[in-house]
Amino acid sequence: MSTETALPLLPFAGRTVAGRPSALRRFLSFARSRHWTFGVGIALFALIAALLIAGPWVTPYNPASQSLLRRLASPSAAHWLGTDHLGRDLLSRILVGGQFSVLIAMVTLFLCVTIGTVVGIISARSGGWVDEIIMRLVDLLISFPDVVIAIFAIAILGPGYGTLIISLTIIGWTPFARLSRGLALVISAKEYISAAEVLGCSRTFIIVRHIIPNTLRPIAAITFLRFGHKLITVGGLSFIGLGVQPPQADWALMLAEAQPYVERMPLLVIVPGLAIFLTALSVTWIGQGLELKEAR
Amino acid sequence: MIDSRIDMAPRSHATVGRPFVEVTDLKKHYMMRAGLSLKALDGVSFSIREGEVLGLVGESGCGKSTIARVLMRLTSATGGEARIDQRNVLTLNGPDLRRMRRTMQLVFQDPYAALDPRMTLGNSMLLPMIQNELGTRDTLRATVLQMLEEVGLDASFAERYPRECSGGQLQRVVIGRALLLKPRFLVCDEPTSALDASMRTQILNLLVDLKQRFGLTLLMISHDLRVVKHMCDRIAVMYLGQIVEIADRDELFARPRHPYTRALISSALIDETGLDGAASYLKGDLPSPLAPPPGCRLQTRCRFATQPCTSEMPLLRDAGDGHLVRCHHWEKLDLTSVTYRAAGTPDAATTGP
Amino acid sequence: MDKRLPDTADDARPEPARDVLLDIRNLHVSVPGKGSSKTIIDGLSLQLRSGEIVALVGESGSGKSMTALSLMRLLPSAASITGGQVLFRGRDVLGMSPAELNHLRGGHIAMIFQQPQGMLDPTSRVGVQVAEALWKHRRPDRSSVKERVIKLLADVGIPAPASRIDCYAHELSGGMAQRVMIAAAMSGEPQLLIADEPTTALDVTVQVQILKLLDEQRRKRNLAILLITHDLSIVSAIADRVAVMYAGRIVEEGPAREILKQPRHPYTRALVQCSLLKADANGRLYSIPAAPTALATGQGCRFLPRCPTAAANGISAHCLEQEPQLSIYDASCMARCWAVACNDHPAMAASGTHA
Repeated sequence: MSTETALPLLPFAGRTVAGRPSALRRFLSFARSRHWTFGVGIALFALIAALLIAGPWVTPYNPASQSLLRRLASPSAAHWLGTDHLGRDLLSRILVGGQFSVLIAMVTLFLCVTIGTVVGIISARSGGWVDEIIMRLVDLLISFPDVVIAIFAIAILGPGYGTLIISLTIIGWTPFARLSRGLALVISAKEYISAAEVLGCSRTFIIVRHIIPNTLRPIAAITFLRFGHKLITVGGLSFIGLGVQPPQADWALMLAEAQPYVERMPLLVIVPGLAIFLTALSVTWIGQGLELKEAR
Repeated sequence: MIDSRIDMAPRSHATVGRPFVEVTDLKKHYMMRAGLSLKALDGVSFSIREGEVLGLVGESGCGKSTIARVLMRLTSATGGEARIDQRNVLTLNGPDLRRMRRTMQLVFQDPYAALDPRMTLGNSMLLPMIQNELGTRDTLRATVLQMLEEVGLDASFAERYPRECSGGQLQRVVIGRALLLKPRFLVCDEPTSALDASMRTQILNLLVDLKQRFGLTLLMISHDLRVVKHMCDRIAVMYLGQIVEIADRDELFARPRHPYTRALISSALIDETGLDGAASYLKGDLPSPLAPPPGCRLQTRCRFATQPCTSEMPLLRDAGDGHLVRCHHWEKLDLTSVTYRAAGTPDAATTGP
Repeated sequence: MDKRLPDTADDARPEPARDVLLDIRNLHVSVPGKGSSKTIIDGLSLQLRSGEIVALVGESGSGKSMTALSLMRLLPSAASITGGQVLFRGRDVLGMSPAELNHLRGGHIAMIFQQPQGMLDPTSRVGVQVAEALWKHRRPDRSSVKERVIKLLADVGIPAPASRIDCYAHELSGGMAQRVMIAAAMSGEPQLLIADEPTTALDVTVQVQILKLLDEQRRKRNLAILLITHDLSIVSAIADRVAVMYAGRIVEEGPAREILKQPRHPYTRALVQCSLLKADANGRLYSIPAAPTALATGQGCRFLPRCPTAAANGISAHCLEQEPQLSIYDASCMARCWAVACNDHPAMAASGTHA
């Protein structure tokens, strides 16, 4: 093996011209080349996602049905995790309560990445005053507190999931615009972009076929890292009553409602807190793993 | 510049064909901080006849790569003209420019950098053709495979990524990709300096073959005099943004007229001239291009510099037979047989006219 | 023919002379990977004497820079020395403690690199950096430091050194920065200088100046220089001896002038021909033929897949079956080729006509 790799000039040595390996195989070998957090993150997130999707069918009780006789019950065979201050089954509420926050976080994140990347790359490639205007707008939005924008949006559009997504997107696309602009500037300086220009390729072609593919990996990594942050922001907005409305089950809302009972029934805080923490952690690990190569 | 007219390459010397590329008084100044301007190109003129190979040599910062970038319209010129096949490429824009680009192509120094790491080599060759509307994906695929064969690679390379190939193989792809657009003028910017010795000769042989096969006019930019000596019909030597000497290859090597050319030749051939011989022509380092010395640009390093050199910029003068030289002393210096003795005694080495 | 095969496993090598400064014996370096480890230096032996310039030549990936780094125990963490000895004045560098190594580096063995500007600290003045090197090894008088730094800078041909000591690295040209690096290297008065492609990043007219400076320093200080380079014209201009590396092994070694004039190993011969860029009668440049197919070279000669001599004269059983050892020819030269080892090998005839 050593001799073959040391012969850099053998033109076709050791290469089978057969087709490339299957997508699954490629993914597995990619996962193996990453830091261990990547695999663990994916497995953990898959488990959480499966539980959330299956939630409505596997819940032992209706997550909204109250039973004041069984308020704040400790864990038992009937209620594995106990009940809350209205006698609702904690396990059922946990299984259902992630759906909205996780979904909203995912949708907003997708919108933010798409808008941010496109705007950032256009900004970088246009240069001049277009770039200047876009970047000042980004500065403006970044220096605005998230919650203020959310409150404005709700005041104008009224509460609801749509409003939540819109306000989170307005705040959230700016970091991606900054990042992708920076990446696009770096890539624009590469010689293969000059080559494409000399070869007479159009501006759109250069953006779509050269710049976007080469920014994708770092942007994906940051996206995953931001997911946890998004999830917590959604939770925070729900916490102050701007997000998911009661009696809907939601992790952050459950945290908020449990506040007065922390001392009598700590599980009421620990369980939703843990759920948010594990979900955020799993996605962060995926992002971390995307960035880091396997440690030697 | 006052000497712009004299800088024109003489037309009487046409032996190969009509001038295909005519660069006249080309200037590229970069504005730097504090009102300083970097004159990367300071009135450069040359012409290349159809089918000819012109070499452009010089050390880093002399402006030779800037010429490639200006001609390819990767950067704008501050002044001057560059006519390729009668059309001034510096003023073209929009669709005209895109159409013109097909006529002139560039081979880059570092093939790893010139290819998108996330694109297969086949796509890197195919997609520019589609962009130039030379055909559809299906019809062009065969053309790509044919070109791969032409540059000495097999069809499997179409499916590979740059990281799976050696530098020499990638340089073949870069050359093939340029030729697919059927250019008539090819600029090679240090095409072999990123390659090992054994790869270098293969690529140079390939370029010679393809030049014949595709009827190319070539501008070979290199810091390596051996490469230029092998490849080129005529050679232009640059120093700090100016051409200091242009001559036919054999003439230049047999009778260099400029002290800088002489120094380059003996430095490049140190195995023949020996260390002492090579090191005797120039002293010191390149001055900062931001503050080039007054008068002759070489005066700070030249052993032969005298009074007019420090104050007066020499013009590019015809030393006969199309041999142009920018030196005050060109008539007095005999650099062919000069054996320099000791620092500070230039008279001993010069012979009167 | 088989009877002539050398029966010892060791390379033929004359007994080390008494004045040997650096004696590398059977050095092995490998990069451990998943499952298998990759050997990048495979049994390298080389000697340097005081006042001698030895060039280590090879193409990228041949292991020449790794050799230099392992002498200083500066290998990247992925690679490790898996065998051999590096004796510097009789003491094994590979067994030295960190303190001893620290004393060795700079004090006895100094190193300069390809990118001088990259090796200088951009935030501190040049004079300070040379003084630091001086301070580390020589503990001069506080009052005389400046004077000695200026002397060191003057010594490496820096004009007006007194005014240069306050410059930052970015204010220096490449050639000046390399001179400063050499001055810093010389401050510890080393006996051995390892120069890894010292002129590759420099312009040709500056390159000759730096080579001349290295040659002067060698004469003045009786310095041994291990010059790592890929450029054969540099070798013939400055080196006393040359060792040519291919795939982690030395394939030919001997006096530079003789080896470059009449190389015996097919790889050296090909390299020399490639470097000269001299066209043949048809205007073609010589190039090493690419192998049509990968040959199984597990046991045999590593150069066999590209060997022009074997391609022209047919592959002998020796070449396929066993890797040749370095064998002595012409008293002072060695080559790792069966054609040299066995005089009646068919390739021998070809080598005679080639050279």
